[in-house]
Amino acid sequence: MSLLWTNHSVLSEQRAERLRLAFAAQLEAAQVKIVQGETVPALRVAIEQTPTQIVFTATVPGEGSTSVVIEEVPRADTGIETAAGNSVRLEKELMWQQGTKILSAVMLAWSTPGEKRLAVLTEDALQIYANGAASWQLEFTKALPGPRQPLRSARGQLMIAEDSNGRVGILLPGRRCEASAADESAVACANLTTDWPSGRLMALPSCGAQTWWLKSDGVDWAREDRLFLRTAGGGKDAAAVAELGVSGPVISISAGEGSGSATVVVRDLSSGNYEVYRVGVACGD
Amino acid sequence: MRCIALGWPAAIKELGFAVALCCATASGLAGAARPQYGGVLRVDLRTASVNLNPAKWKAGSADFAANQRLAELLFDRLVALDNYGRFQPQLATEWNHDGSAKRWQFTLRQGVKFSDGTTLSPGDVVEALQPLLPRGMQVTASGGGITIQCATPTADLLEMLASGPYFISKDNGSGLLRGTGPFVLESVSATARDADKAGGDGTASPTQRLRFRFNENCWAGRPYLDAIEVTLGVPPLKALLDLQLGKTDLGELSVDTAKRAQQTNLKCWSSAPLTLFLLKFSADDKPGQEQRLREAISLSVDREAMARVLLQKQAEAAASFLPQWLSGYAFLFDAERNLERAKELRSKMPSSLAGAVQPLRVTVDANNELSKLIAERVAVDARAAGLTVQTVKGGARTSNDAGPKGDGEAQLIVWRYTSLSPRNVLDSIGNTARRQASEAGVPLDAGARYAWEKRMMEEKNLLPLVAVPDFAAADGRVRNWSPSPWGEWRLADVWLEASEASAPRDAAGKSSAGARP
Amino acid sequence: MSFRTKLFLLFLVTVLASVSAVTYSVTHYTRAAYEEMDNQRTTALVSQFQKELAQQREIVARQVENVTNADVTLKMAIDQTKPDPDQSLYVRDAAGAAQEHGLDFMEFVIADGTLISSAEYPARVGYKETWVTSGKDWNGSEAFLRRVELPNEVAVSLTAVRTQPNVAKPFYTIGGRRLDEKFLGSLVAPAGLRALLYLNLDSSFVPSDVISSSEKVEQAEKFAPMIAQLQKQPAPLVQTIQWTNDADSAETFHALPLTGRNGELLGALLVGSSRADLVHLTRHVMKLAGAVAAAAMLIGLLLTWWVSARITKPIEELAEGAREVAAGHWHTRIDLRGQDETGQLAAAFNHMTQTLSAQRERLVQTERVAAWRELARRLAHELRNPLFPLQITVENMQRARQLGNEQFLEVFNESTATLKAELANLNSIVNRFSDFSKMPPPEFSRLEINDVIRSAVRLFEPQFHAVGKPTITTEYFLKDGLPEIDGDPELLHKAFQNLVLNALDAMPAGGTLTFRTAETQSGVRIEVSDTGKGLTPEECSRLFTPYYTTKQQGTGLGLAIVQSVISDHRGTISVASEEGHGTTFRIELPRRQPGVAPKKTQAALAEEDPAKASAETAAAND
Repeated sequence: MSLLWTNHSVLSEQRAERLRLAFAAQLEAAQVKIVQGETVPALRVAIEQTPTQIVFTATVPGEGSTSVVIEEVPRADTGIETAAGNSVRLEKELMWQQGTKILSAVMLAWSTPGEKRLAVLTEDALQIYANGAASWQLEFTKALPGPRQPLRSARGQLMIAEDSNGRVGILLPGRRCEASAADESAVACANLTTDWPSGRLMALPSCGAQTWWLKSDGVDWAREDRLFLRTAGGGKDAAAVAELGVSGPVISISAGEGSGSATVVVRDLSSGNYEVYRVGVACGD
Repeated sequence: MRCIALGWPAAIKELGFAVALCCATASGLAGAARPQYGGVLRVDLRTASVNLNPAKWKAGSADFAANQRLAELLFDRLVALDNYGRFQPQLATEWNHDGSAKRWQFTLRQGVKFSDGTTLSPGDVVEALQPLLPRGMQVTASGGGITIQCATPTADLLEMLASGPYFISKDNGSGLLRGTGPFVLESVSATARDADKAGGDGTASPTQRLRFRFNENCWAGRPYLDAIEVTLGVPPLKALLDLQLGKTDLGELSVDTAKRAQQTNLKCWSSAPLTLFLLKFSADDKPGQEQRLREAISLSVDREAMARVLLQKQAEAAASFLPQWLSGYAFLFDAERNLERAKELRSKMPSSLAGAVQPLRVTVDANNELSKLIAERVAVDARAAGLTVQTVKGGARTSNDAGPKGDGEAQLIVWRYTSLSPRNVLDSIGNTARRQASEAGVPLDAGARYAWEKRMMEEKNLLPLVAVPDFAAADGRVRNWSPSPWGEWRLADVWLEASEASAPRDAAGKSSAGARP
Repeated sequence: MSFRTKLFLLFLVTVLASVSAVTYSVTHYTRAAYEEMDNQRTTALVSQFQKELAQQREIVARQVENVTNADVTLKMAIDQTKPDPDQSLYVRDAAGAAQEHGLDFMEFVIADGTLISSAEYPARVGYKETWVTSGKDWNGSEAFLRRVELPNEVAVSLTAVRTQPNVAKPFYTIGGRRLDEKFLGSLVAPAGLRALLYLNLDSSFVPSDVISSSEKVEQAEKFAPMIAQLQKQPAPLVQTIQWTNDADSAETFHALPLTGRNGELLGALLVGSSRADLVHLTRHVMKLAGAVAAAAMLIGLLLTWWVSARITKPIEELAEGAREVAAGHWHTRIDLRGQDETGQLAAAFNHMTQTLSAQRERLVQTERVAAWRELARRLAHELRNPLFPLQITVENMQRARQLGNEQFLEVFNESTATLKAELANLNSIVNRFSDFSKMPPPEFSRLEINDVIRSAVRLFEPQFHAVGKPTITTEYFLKDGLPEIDGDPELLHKAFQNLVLNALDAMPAGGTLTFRTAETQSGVRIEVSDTGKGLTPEECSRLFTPYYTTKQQGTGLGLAIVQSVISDHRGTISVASEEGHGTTFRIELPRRQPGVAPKKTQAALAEEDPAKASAETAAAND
């Protein structure tokens, strides 16, 4: 028979394709030959979704009737999807994503060349990841001292100095904290009220002496946002020299490894995952 | 005001530059992306009355939506479902069940208080939940949580608890219900009901106002808004006008007004198809002939045209009881019109059969324009097959009302999907069809459920027609509004644009201008 | 019928005829004038309706043109020319356009006839309206009447269709206004007229489809025949409808059919004109005529009375006078009045009575002389007969004196016998005359004449059937129930006896004696008929003269006595006879005798005192 496969769920096309291949292989193993053509009976498999399930529906035409098999898989069990990225003048690279909320993130250059650290601030902890062989590996989780922030309005901003040597600054409502990314020492906080950054000043000497502000569009968190690169000093009405669309609202913009990059946390609206991007300025081709 | 933040605390040397740049640019920069506290959100709702006591809600009723939307402001559930299919902890932080999914245990969040300051206890949860749970479920307090014992495997318990009426509320002894939600009902317009009944078992008459103020004791933190003012009984067209004139911030729309709103600069939203229109026939079992008539009518109705043309592509043809977004397999049911087959069935009917000579009377709610339009379309489609259907205006008909009286009658009923559990929804719809008591409950397994639904469809007591989404539009200053596809508005997360938002107020109404979160 | 009555009737008839003629003329011309005026008003109202309809046609056409030319419609039409256009966008637009332009119906139809938007029946969107695509050159056409299907009813609409001129594919705008009470309300009907509208939406008559701009139409089912006729043949029609039994409830309706594009009847304008005014006017005229007639009758009565007083009274007096004369009062005179005809008539009458009176005197004297002569002759004749034998006998006796004593004695005895017989005869003759001369006056009493006749005839019964004598058959045709009359039973008895004797004498060979009685207007009639030899006319005329007889013997007093008795009873007797065929005596007696208190009849007396009655009867018979 032929195999007709449709995907109307949140599963990515790549994943759906992988599933199809796996399914076809299972059929072959069960002595069912898959061929192309309209003259043979068609096994139709549709991947649909409900609020909580991914629904696989297979229909096989028989003599005078159609057999239907339906299977459901909780969406929460489908795991993390990888998403493709786009290359633009502003380039982004997905570094990390997770389902739980990320308030802010920064990329830390490390003393060991090639090593990097990724500091991820959640509502109640600072997580330090190290880039391993295949992916980021969690090194430390440091709980944030003090009362837990309200879920709804939890916010935080990570800041880092270029020569901080692994120290990360954490801006929390009404507090400023400091933590080390190199060891498991606790986070130390002090009360401080200061302004919160909403963008990152970037410069790339290879692109010239100008500096830019990297900011987001500023729309609400229920919509997809855009990153804009505007010339510093040009004001908010200045035209953007570069734009980059992201798949959801920008949660924070923090420092990157160098002045030419930033670490942007975005919440992907289609998956709900919090994604950490390295956004860099590229000029030329 | 924005400032550069390159690093902290070692970036002192750049601090001066940063401060200078910060000050230079402070005045001209917008800080719009950050939520702001304060402001009163004005909401226009279509329904003329609401009931904020979940125990009084009827499954499938059209009023359920508005009741639930406002109840969300006052109460919380044990769990919530996000837009990504993940159950999020609410009043319950953890849960597990046994292998058969009959026994569920929930760990309650600690330190949660009701709006009157009393602490939430497992006993409160038991008292609130037990009357709401279906038969066969028993909830008991256990340690720091509760246990729900089900008579049958209930793998979809979370779907149930995350939707429907399963809010946790507490009667403070004088008939008033208190909740743990982000808002407290402050007042209902005095002409309707005694304002003292606010927050409780109160209903409000048409065009009345309800005012909800923020609850500073809310376990999830106070909401961004100071208050929400809800006006009831606002027709969709007026709501659209109010939105355009700036008299309201969020308005409930209809099929045709949603189309118009899309042509403006309002933020428009539509849900998944949540309201099902279906024909309900007399529950008496008739041999053969009535079935043929019902089948003929079902085949004559052009659901696709109804959804695509008549409802301006804002609806979905419904060939099954569960919509595609809820079951995932609705596409297996055929919604195709078959006029030839309908005519063939008509020609085989005796002339004395209702519809062939005497018009089949379909009772429709006189106050629901959409119902009337759909019923009229059914009549037009049926006429093309030689069947005479006549619409008759009646009072509001819900699934819980008595069925059509006598032979030759049907009614167009409006069914609201009020549960995220497909099994639960199908079970409720099955009760509407007054199926024989010997019929077993809806199975949990999707394949078995599909077969069950198929059998119920074949009985032809109910004929699904179209499913229509909810529509709403919000003014541009409304931010962070992300309603769920199944109709939850989640107003607690909304905040208003700075020009309208005032400085956040505490519970005493004192301004704390300049305060930062 | 008296002259007065005749005169009155004549006057009445004349008056009634005149009044009727005038009434008829007045009513006829009034009705004609009314009808003419009514026609004019109705024509004016119909004309007004037609103008209003024409105006509405223009308005509707213009409004539909405005909709067609609107930017929104143009955009809609342009969008339809694109490949795979989204028709769902416009589903609600027709309702908005209709409301904006004040139309009741509005539809948009694309080139293939698919309805993409409908104000009145949105549920039909997506279906085809083939009638509009089959039409040509809609832009040049005027608005027309059309049947419009709605969700729960059918209506009639004044519809115009326009096509969008600026696009390649036809795009139809169909708009209209409903023909209903509001449309009727635009007509201003004068007093006494009303306009109704019948919407012909069903093959049979539906009473509720008769509509009025103001009140509900009562008894609409009475329009059924008119509408049925219109449905058969849509042409103007006039009919009168009577709403109640009262004539003034009638209303004349002029029906103007309203047809659609294809000539089908979609409705009818019914202009009703009340006939109440005419009926009232007619009634008023009739009442007036009645009053005039009544007055005329009264005047006629008075006039008749006065006229008759002047004319009929004298005539009545004359008539009365004549009656008096007939009754025997020959000296009746009428008072002379005036020199006119009635006066002349009265004078003539008086002269006549005077002459009659004188002539009667002479006649009476002549008759009396004649009667004396006859009596003398009869007496001489009667007396001569016995006197001759007396003379002979005496002569014989004288001669016998010469004879011997024995012979003389024989002759003497024979002669004295003869003398005695003849003297007895003479005595009898004298007695009869004496009886006749001293017939007593009648003593009246109430009697049954039939009884008198029977009792009189009974005495002769033996003679009728005597052996050796010819048979006399008696026949009685005595009417039962004859009224009692005043009469002297004895005298009448004697009179009937004389008649029977007379009849017997007339039938020597036998025959039939017939008695008939009958009631007359004034009394009774008795007829005695025989089948004898009859009488000549001369004999008839002298029959009742005393001593006149046709018999060889007899005094001739019998019939005279009969006549006397009858005369005493104030009756009349006459004879009818024909030679060889018998004779009939007819007696008429009055019922009552004036001024006389009659004695009771024997029967009445017998009832009271049978002994006394029989004694009186015996005394009377002696």
